Amino acid sequence: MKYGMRVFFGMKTGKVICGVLIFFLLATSAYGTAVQVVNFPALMSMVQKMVTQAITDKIKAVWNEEVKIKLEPGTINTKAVSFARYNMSSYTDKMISQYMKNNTGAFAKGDGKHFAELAKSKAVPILPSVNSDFTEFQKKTREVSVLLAGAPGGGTDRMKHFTTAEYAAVKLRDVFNQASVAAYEKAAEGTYVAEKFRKELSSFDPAYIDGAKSDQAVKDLAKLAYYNTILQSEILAVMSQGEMRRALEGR
Amino acid sequence: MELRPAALSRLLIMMGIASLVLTFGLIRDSSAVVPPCPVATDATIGQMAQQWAASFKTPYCAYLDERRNVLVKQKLVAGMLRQASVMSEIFRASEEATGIAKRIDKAARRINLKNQGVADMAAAKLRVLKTGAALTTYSAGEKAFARASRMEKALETFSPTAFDFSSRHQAQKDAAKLAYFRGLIQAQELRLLSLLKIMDALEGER
Repeated sequence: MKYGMRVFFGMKTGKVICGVLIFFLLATSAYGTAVQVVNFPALMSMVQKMVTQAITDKIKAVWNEEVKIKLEPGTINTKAVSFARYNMSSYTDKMISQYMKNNTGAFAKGDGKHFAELAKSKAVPILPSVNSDFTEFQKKTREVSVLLAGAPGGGTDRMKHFTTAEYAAVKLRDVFNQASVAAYEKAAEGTYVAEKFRKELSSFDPAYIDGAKSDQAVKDLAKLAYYNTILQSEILAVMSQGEMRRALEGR
Repeated sequence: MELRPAALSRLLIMMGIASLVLTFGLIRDSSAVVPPCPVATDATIGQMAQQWAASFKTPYCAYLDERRNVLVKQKLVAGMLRQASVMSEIFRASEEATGIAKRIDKAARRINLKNQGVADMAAAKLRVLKTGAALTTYSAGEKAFARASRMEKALETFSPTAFDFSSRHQAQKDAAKLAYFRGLIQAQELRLLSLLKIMDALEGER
C-alpha cells in the first residue's frame, strides 16, 4: 500500500492530480475570504436601507397619528350654535329709512293708519318673548317700535311761523324718535341673542373638555373666544345705540 | 530533478496539512456562526440584513411609541378647574319669567281705554310696556345677581396658582372652560343691558 502510494505520487500524473487538488483547496479557501470582503459593504448598504425605511415608516406613522389627533374637532358643536346669526340691523334700517321718513314724525304727511290701528287694538302690549321664533320675535318687536315712532306730524305747513330754534327742536325730536326705535330694536335683539347664547351653550357641559385631548380644548377655546367677541360686540352695539339716544334726550 | 521518496512524502504531508487548515477555515466561516458576514449567498445576506435592521428598528420604534403614548396621556389629563359642571348648572335655568307676563297683562287690563284718542291709547300702551320692561329688568337683575354671587363663590374655591403646577395641556383645558363661563356671564350682561336700554327707549317725552 505504502509502496503503491509512493509509486502513485512519484508518477507525473499523481503529482499533477495532487497539485490540482491542492490548488483547488487553496483557491476555494481564498474565494471564501474574498467573498467576505466583497459582500460586507453590500450587507451594510442593505442594512442601512432597511433600517432607514423602517425608521422612516415609523416616523410617518407616528406623525400621521399626531396629525390625526390635531385634526380632531373640538367638543363644542358649532352647528348647534345659532345665536350669531340673529341680526335685526337691516330690519331696523328699513324701519327708519322708509317707515319713519314717511309715516311718523313732524315732517311726515302719512295718514298714520298703521300707528292708529296698533294703538287702538285691544291686544295687550307685550315685550317680545325671547323663547319665540326669531321672525315672530321681530314682528312683536316691530309692533312696539311703531308705537315708539309715533304718529305723523303733518309736514312743514304748520311750521311756517316757527323760529329757527323751534324748527331745530322739531328736527331733533324726530331724530330722537328714530334713535329710540333703533335703540329699542337693538336692545330687543340683544335680549334674544343673550338668551339664545345661554340656552345653546348651557346645554354643553364644560366637563367634556376634561375628557377630550388638549388639542381639542384649544379649538374650543378659539371658538369660545369668537363667541365671546360676538357677545362683546353686541354689548357694544346695544350700549352705543342706547347712549346715542340718551345724548339726544331732553333737547 | 527527481525528489527522493522520503522528501516527497514529507512535502505531500505538509501540503495536506496546509490544505486541511485552509479548508477548516473555509468551513468555519461558512457555518454562519461568526458575524458579520459569513456566507456568500445573497439570500443569507438578505436574511442577515433583516436581522440587523430589526435589531436597530425595534428599540427605536419602541422609544417612539413610548414617547407618543406619554404625549397622548398628557393631552388627556383633566384640567385643574374641577367644579366646571357645578358652575355650568348655575346658568342652566331659563331667563324668561312667566309670572311677569301675567303681571303685565293684569296691569294692561287696568287701563281704561274707552273714549280715548289714538295718542292717549298709544301712550297708555307704552306705559304698560314700560312697566313690563321694568318688571322684567328687575327680575333679570335679581337672577343675574344670584348667579353672579354663586359664580363668585364657586370661583373662590379655586386658586389660579394651581395653573403654575399644572401642565400646559391642563391649562389649555381650563382656559377653554373659563372662556365658556365668561361667555355665559357676558350673555347675562348683554341681557341686563338690553333690558335697561329697552326701558330707556320706552320712557321720555315724544
